[in-house]
Amino acid sequence: MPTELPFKRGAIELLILKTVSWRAMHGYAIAQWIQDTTDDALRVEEGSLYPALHRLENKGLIESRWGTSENNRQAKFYTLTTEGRRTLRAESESWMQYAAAITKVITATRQPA
Amino acid sequence: MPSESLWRRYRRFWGADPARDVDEELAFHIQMRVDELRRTGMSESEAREATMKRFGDLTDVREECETLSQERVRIKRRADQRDALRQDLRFALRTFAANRGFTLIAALTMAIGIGANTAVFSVAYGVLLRPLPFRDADALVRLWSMNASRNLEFFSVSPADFKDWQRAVPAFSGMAAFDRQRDATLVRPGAESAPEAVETAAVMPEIFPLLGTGAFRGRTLMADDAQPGAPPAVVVSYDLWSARFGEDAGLVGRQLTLDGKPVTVVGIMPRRFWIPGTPAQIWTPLSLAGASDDHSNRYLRVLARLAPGRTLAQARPEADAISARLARDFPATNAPWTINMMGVPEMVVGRQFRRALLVLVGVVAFVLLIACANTANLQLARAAARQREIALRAALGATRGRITRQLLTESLALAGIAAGGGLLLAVGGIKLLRKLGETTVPRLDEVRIDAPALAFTALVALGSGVLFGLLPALRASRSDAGEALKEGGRTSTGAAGQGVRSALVVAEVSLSLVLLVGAGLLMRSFVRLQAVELGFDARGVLVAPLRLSEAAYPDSASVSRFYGTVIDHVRRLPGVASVAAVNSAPFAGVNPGLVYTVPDRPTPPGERPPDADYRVVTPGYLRTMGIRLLSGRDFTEQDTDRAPSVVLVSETTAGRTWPAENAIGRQIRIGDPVKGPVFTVVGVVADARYQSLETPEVRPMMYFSALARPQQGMMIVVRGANTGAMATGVREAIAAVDPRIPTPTMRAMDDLLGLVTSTRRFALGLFAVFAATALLLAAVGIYGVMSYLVRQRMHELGIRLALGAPARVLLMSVVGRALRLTMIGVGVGLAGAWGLTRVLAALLFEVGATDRPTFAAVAVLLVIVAGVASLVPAYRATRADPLLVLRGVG
Repeated sequence: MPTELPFKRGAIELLILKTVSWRAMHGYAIAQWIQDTTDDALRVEEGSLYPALHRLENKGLIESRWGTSENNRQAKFYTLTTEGRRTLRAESESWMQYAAAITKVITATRQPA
Repeated sequence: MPSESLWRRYRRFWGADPARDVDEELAFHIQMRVDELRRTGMSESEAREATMKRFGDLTDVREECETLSQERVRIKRRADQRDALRQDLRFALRTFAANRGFTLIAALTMAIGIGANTAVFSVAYGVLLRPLPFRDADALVRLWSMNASRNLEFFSVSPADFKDWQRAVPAFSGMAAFDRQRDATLVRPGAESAPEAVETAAVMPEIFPLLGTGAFRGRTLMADDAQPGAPPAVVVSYDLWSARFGEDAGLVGRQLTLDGKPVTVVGIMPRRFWIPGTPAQIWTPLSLAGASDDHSNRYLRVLARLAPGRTLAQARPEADAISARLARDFPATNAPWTINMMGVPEMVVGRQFRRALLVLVGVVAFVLLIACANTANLQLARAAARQREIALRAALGATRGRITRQLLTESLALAGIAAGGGLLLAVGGIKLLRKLGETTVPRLDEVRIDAPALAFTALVALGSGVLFGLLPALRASRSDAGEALKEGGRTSTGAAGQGVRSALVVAEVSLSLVLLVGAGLLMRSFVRLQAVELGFDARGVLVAPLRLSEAAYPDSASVSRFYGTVIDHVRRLPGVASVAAVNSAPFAGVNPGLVYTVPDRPTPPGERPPDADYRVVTPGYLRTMGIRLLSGRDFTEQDTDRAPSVVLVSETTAGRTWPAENAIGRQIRIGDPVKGPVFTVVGVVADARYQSLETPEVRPMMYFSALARPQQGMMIVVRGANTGAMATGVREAIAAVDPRIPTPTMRAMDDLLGLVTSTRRFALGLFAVFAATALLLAAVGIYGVMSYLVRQRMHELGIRLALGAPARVLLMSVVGRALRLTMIGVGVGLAGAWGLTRVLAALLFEVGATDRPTFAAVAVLLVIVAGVASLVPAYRATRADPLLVLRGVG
């Protein structure tokens, strides 16, 4: 198993937005999906997942609804709002620019003058 | 999305439960994880333990999530409320747009009511409530000498008395004296050619710490400035600094020439500062070191400050004690004299004006109430018309609260629109007030629409919105939906609705009656006052006060020559009928007085010698003023200091001194009963009023010849056709004789008289405007209600017409009903006016507060107005085609 990477609060919110952009999902599925997609590299802590979900809902970026889960239990499903979709687009953009910039530096082959 | 369970939907119907939702959400997660671990072969308890371990502190997570959820519920609730309000408002505005006529009338009515209140509140606030520019102004007290037996309430104080008072009243923490303001000539450096008239006052430096106001620039006067030999220092007012020196920052420390002497400006006082009792622009230091010891030499003005925690009531007995001691020690000069005192705030505003203003506040409140009654009536009528709409909304599930809220929102939106209009009216009204009340309203320059006035407007708008909206809203929302829908549009609010309407008519009639009675009483007073016999003819007379400086005119010969030359110059001007000079023209200045005795009839011991007012006049004064000479002769050019001393006396003086005898040829001794100069009476003139229109009797008056006793300060009085042209001529004549003399402020005698009646005119003018507004509003209100009631009775009237009832009978039945309501209103109003007009008593002149002719006239006027207002709809009803009415078309 690869090392588990720690990540910051802002990052988890971006990951949640991306995750629920596919379809309505409950918290457990969100955590699972992130973990699966990153091949278990990122493990989402429950302790930060749920407060993040509620924060996003307060900001109006996602909305929730109670429904029945795949194994026939009552679960709270989250979907992306229009505002959330806009935010996701903007945040992904800036995240990628940031990541690209960092990558350039750490993969640099030319020695500083 | 998976469907929501019925159970949960049911539960959520009763409102969100954030705590429970969070618990269930987390429980689901835990269960999912446990299931997953079990699939890998863990036992139930192992799986649960692993899950909880991974979760960390469950309580923390739960708490954080709950807090966030609760916050979300709050945000949502607020948003819902905002949405509802926005929806209500949008609906209200749509309703307004659909009913332009109603909206316009209602908003205008309320705008008048609110505007009047805002304007009057601004005045009342600026005048009565805005703090004076002194530290703890309520503790400041003005002191006077008082002589009750000679009817002198507000007399100046002698330096000798002041020194004795100063330490004798423990209730006062400080006391300071100052001189009355006097005219001086100011020459600015670099402007030598143009001397300017300013008012200066000599004040004890202690006055500044007493008032508690520091300098705006530089310093105030200090005790050292009043020491003999100190360099002459002055402090100037903010207004002088800004008007004459263009707010020049370098004025402090500069030298000016005041009455020909150099003085140094040491400070500028802040804006709005003045010394209560002397409206001067320049203050010079006053020292009492060399002042006379004569207790009867009364010329000072005195201010004191109450010690912390002490009151005026405590100061009075202490002041009485010191005046009693002075009367014992100096019986000749202090026997009947006591100390009079009044708080500065009261002095500044004046009792009469304060009362007039409070009455005015009541008056506009009445106007607002009438406006509210009118608008409530309109709303009621409209609510009746909207009954179907409201019933429909109720049937569709709107609760009573929701409908009431919708209607109230409409009322408040209307009040908001009206408040906007009212503010515009108030701004215009205050501009008008400034013009009308320039000379009447104290502190008028401090009147403006500012934050307190805006807050007041908002409050009044809110209050009246609820007042005129709540009753109709409650009534409308209570109506039975089924009934209203069944009636199919033919609406009737029934007996209860008519009762409310009738009550509103009665209220409007009675409120406007009270206002009209007030206006009527003031009007009658004013007419009476205008009819007061003046004893002189004010029309076409111009008054120009002059003062010669002692430096330029040291002796009486030069003074006499100056005034003689000016009078000659003016006399030759075109359009001038006659010209003369007097030391103080009627209603234009101070009122000098004297005591006298009759040489051949000594005053019995223990009795005071008689007193009279006096004037010093040049020949031709009587002709110029139009004062009749009753017997004897007028002054001539020969009545100089070389001729025998002569005096003219007024009818009242003659009658009091020599009852049933001819005064001509008699002698009087002025001032000291032994050493005073003796004058021979050569003429008796008609009484003329110099000070007050309102005292029942005219003060005794004596006239002396200015040729024998020239005065430095005289007023030129000119009679002619065109006062405007004369003013220019007089100005040029004075400049031609001596260009160093500042241009006097000239006034028409008519204007000076106008000033005397200005408080009355002000009160009457405003009262009349508001009463007329009230009458108009009431007439509109009566018309509106009668139209409505007639429309309600159309069916009945149509049947009666069709059955052959004469139109006249129907007309009478409608008008009769309006008149019945009016009579009730008149009755209530008369009773109210009977009680309320007493507050006007101080503003009335020779008219009782319950003057019957006024009450009767106003009652008749209101009945006529109500009759006419109801006649129009009644007439229309009888003209309607009975067939159309019966078919429900009319």
